[in-house]
Amino acid sequence: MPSSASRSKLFHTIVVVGLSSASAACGPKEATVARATDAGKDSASADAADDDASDATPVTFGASDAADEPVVGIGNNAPDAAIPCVRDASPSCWPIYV
Amino acid sequence: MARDEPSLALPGDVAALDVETRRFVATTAARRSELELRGAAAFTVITQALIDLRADLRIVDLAARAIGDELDHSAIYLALARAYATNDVPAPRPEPIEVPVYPGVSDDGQRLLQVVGMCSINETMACSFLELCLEGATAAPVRAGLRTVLEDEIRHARIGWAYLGSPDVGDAERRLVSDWLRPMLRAQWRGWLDQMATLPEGERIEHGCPSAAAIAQAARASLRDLVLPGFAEAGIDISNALGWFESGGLAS
Repeated sequence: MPSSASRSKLFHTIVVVGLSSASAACGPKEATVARATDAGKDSASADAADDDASDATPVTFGASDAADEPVVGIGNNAPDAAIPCVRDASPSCWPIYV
Repeated sequence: MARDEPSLALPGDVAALDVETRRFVATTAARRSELELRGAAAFTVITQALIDLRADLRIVDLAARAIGDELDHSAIYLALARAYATNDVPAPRPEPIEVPVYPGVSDDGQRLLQVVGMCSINETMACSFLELCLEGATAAPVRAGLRTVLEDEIRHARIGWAYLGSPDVGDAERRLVSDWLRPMLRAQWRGWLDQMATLPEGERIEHGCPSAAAIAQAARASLRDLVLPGFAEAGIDISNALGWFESGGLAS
């Protein structure tokens, strides 16, 4: 299984970059794949890829503001019956490539 | 005009593999080739949803490109299937897909949940699956193909996260996602279980085909380490979904 360090890198590569910057999301493929596949194996190349990403001029979408805002939870403690149910008809999910 | 099938250098040692291994890998790759076409169909829906939401053009652009990416992935897997197969492997044809529906949700809410469900959840989970495949693969053509697919799937997952981080998503939208996160994760997880149940028994790790048990483990880890923390990072209340995850919801 991939290591926790590798998973942490993947989280940053997908989620943090995705949330914070559309320009980074449109960034060079080479950096993307290097960060995804070398994470935890070759720290030098992974770090270099990180540098590539941080060098890009991000266009923020207000992610930092969003994260700081209190979010009113609705139904957080509601019983299952009160939780909206995605249709059970098969398939009720998006295509899976496995 | 049909998309070009990538030319993969057929490794000389493929011919030396036992027939069972060649069939296993060829069948798995052919299966993935067909499934990737469904991904292309899904991204036609996502692209339209993002247009209807008047999303940032760069996000729409990523989604539109994803349609072609998924067609390319299908071609990559088909080439692998043909490289390993001992008989002819027909090219799959695209088919319409059924799109998840969220009862009682507004049209724009449906679109938001579609983007989140397909990209933030499904494509992020797919990245974890591909990471697992790539980690074990040693066959050069397989590694090359998996790397290409993974780098694209990372960008596809970012579509959802980028939209969630955009100014188009405010408190009301975050509450909607929070309300639907648990049922969406549950439905997607069931889908993964159903899909994994159809996998052939066994594994050929060195050729990018891990076992169903390993895939399930990676999928669980992706929810725990990527998807749920991702939503929290996006300012989404995940307590309900986390409760489902921690209470053994993955068992069903």
